[in-house]
Amino acid sequence: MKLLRVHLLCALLALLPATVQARTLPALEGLEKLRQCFATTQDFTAELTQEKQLSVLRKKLVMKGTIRFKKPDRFLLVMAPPYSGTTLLKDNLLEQRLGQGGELQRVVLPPDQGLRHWFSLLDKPLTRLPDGLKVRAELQRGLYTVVVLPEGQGQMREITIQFQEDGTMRRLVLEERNGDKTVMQFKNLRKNTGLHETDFRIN
Amino acid sequence: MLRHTLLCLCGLLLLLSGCSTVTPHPTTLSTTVVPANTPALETLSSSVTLSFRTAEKHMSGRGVMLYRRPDQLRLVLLSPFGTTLMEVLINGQELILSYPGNGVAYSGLVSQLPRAAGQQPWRLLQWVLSHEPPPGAPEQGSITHTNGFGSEETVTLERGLVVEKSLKQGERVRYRNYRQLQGVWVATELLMEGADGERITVTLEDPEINEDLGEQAFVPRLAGLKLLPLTELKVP
Repeated sequence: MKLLRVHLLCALLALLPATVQARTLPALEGLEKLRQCFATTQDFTAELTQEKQLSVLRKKLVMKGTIRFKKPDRFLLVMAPPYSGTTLLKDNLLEQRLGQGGELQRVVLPPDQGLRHWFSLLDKPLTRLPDGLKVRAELQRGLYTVVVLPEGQGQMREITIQFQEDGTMRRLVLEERNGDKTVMQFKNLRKNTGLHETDFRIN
Repeated sequence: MLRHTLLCLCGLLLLLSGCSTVTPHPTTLSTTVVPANTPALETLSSSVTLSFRTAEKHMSGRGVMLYRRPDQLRLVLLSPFGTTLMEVLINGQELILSYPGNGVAYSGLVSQLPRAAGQQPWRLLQWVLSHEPPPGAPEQGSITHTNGFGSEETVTLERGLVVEKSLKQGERVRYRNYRQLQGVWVATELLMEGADGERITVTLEDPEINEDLGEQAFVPRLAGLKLLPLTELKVP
């Protein structure tokens, strides 16, 4: 009887890898799924952990903070000490205050670099892969992973985005050609809670 | 203008590292007499914030700085999401400015920097990197002398720490918020006022000193970048 139970347990364990094996998705399907997730998101808040590993620096910079977004063009990033700072983007108006009591900086970006412009691009379904990009996508246990590989010699070598079926963003990894890597993990993400204009301010 | 500003910021950052090479008399901030063989600053690594202000505009950013005595320095300016906006690498008199977003880097000697592209801070760099408390400097007070570059400078000390340096032409550097790290006094805030009224502030956020920075710390990272002579650097 004991031997039978051991065999049963082993059989279950053997089955387990098969149930969690990643399913490769067509690149366009993965990218379109990502677009749809953004399309159904009106706003979100999340706790953010950003780990920066420079290829020339042995230690890793670990920054924690919160992130907020609201369509069509509001974005707020608040980092906690010791790397404190607040970055607010109102379409193409960038406001930033670094450090404790730092001065407020305002920079007007070109209109085509504004949030409104970028998110307007997400309104239409994708019918083909954008030029200059290679894309890999897979689905594993309800977690989508989309890897974007820009062709050519640009700054970014690889961008990895992980999100859940319901569009909840989990992880964003930016790998640069110089070997630097930034990993952003999102926790306690809440979507479509009805954020207000007052939620996007720099104190 | 952005490039000019970044150059100015980087120049000031270099000043900061120069400041850090100064080994102030360590007995002056406490009643304890510190032995004369107090360790010197050999390496420094830190996250930094930088602020540049003129009458017309204000810019700020965050980055990472590595320094190895006497003349190696790397500064990486980062975007809010951690990607590299600009990088400065100095090995002695050799300078590389990298702009990964534009896919270009400029290489040459510090002395080859076009004057219009913000050469002033680099000259200040040389001034500060060569700095040692002048002979006969008081623990408290100021001393005016002709420095190694033939310029007349005034150095002000408080309790043995250099808190200000100024040149006759009007440039001034002030050192603030000294912290003692492994027995070495390090200024964690530096404010420069240029002859034209520009103000640049550098703050060290998490300085670590005299750690092994590794072999890659001052190796150029040029993969995928078009390398141009420094003399071709233009002010946008």
